Amino acid sequence: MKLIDPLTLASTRDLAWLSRHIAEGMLLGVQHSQRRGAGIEFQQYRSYEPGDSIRHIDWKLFARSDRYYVREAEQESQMHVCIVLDTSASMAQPSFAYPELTKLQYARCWIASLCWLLHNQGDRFSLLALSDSGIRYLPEGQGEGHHRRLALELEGLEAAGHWPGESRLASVWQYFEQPCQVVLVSDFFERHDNGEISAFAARLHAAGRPCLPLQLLVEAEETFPFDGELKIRNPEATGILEVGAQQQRGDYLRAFAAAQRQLAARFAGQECPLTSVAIEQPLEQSLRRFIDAHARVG
Amino acid sequence: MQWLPASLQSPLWLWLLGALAIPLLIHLLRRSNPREITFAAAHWLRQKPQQNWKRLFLRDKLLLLLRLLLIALLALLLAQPLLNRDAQPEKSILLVDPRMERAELREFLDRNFSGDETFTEIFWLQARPSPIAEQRPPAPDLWQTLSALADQAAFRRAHILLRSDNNPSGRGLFKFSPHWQWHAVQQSGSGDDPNAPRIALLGDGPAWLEPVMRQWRNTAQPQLALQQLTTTAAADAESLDWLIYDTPGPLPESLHDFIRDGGLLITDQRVQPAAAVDFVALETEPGEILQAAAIGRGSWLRYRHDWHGEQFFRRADLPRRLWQQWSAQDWALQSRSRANWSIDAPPGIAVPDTDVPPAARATIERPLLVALLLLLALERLLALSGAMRFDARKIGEQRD
Repeated sequence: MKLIDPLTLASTRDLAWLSRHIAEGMLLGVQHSQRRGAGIEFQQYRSYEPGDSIRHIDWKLFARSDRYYVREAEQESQMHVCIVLDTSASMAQPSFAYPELTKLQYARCWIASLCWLLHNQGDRFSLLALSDSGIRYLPEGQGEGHHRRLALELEGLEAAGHWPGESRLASVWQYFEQPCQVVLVSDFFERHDNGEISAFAARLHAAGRPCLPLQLLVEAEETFPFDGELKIRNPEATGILEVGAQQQRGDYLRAFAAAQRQLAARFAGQECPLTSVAIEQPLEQSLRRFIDAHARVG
Repeated sequence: MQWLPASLQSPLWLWLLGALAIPLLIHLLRRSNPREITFAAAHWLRQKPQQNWKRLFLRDKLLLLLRLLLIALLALLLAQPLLNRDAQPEKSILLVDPRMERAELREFLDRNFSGDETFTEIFWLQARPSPIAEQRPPAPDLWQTLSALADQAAFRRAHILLRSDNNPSGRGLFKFSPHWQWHAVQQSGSGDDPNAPRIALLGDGPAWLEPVMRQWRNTAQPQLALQQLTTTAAADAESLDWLIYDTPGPLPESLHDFIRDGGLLITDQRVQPAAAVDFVALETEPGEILQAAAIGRGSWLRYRHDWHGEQFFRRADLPRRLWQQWSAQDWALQSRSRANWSIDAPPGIAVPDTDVPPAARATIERPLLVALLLLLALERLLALSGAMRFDARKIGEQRD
């Protein structure tokens, strides 16, 4: 199986196609008797929206009414998966080995691939991008068209600001009123020691919305391979930190490992094991690891 | 460059040492411009207060040192150093005076160097020493031979075996090595006393002279030997100190020259000066009249009495008195300027080590080149191992 190169992930311009390619690659050999296109039971006509496949346009209706209508079918879905993506500034962190590839780009590809897998199962999925510079929400839906909309939405995301505060999050809770699975994609770098992101996950968990965490890291964060004098800019804080890399390495690695352990322990307590992924790893592997860790989902 | 044990063939290349500033500058510049990175996990880094001067040389000290060394080595290599090699100090050389008999030499060696200390090489003492096994060369002029050997590095630490510890000196300056070890077979005292004045007699001589000489030998005075000269032309201030002249009449011109050259002429009043001479009366003892005159570098001592007269020599203290009168002349000065030298205190100038051209010179290019390559390899290893931390991981990933 040929893995997707990180540079391909970084430079893709067609997220929908790439994610389908990745996901189909993972589904090789999996037998599924899924129907394509419209559902089994006709549900409604809906006006055409950008992103809908033109195959679903009802041409007869078009001939009669001179408007594009899409046939929508009732589809029974096992699950609604809400994907929560952290778009705070720290997600713009590029890899040091592949400077073109950022955490956010990796997350885009990863989410799109996951959603294609979900689509193949007939699941519904929605996207919630959280940042205090703007909260974007793509309502739940299913099908290829929805996947394409999701890809469009993902491509429009920018990483800026911080994780939203309590007041801004208040408007978010309505999206979780229906039962759903939550996939939380973030780097889990929390500004405060109380852990605003894991607190968000804990609250969802308490509400009976299991929250499956995916942590995106770059390899340098785990190994700190620098030496010499460094001026370090923290994207989520002001000011520049000047440190000697060699003197700091030991302390940093210890503190980072401790924080990682603490985070993993917190999620293990919620019975949602944390999947930590370095974005230099092939996407297929990380997706496989995530799915294996939450076998219920896969 | 005398203080260096080496000399450089092309010292011009030492200007390259100025290039030492380049890695130093790069080091300082890189230090003052730290790399700026965006690092989201900066939360776990702590700013440590550091003194500026301490940070100045904290990073890559080893690498900097290696690079400086590399440049210095390169400059040295281009300057083509020559290393001076002294003659092997463990080799001991004996230079033997060619006047020595082989039997004497053997006896000397058996007596003084019978233990484990032996000579590795033995040469005849010559300006160009030849091995002892070769034919005996003619006796050299020691003065010139030793001067010629003084600045030859191979013989700087030689042992020198002379026949006698007192030798006549030459006219020029004597050069010798301060490291020479002197040996002599004949100690002074066994032969002529070098400090004794050399006395010669021209003519019959007064009747008291012979008993006086005999009496002198039994005293503690310097041992005197009386030479008999036949002609006035034989009188030479080089080989004689005192001359007793006992021929009545005017003083011959050659004897006048003898005085002028530094000799002491002893006569009685029967000898008349050819030209007018200023005599000064010396009253050494009451009743005895003695005249002295300084002519040139020497002097003339003249007794006013007839020294064949009975009252002159019928005295118990005659030898002592004569010695006093004669040696009271400039004898002390003359004795000091005697053209003899002793091995205990070689006269002349010791040639310092710095004036000696080295015995051998060796280029050290090959070890320098090897060191340069080794350092280069080490430097590359260190520099690249730092840079490869990323690369290795990248390659490893692509291989998966």
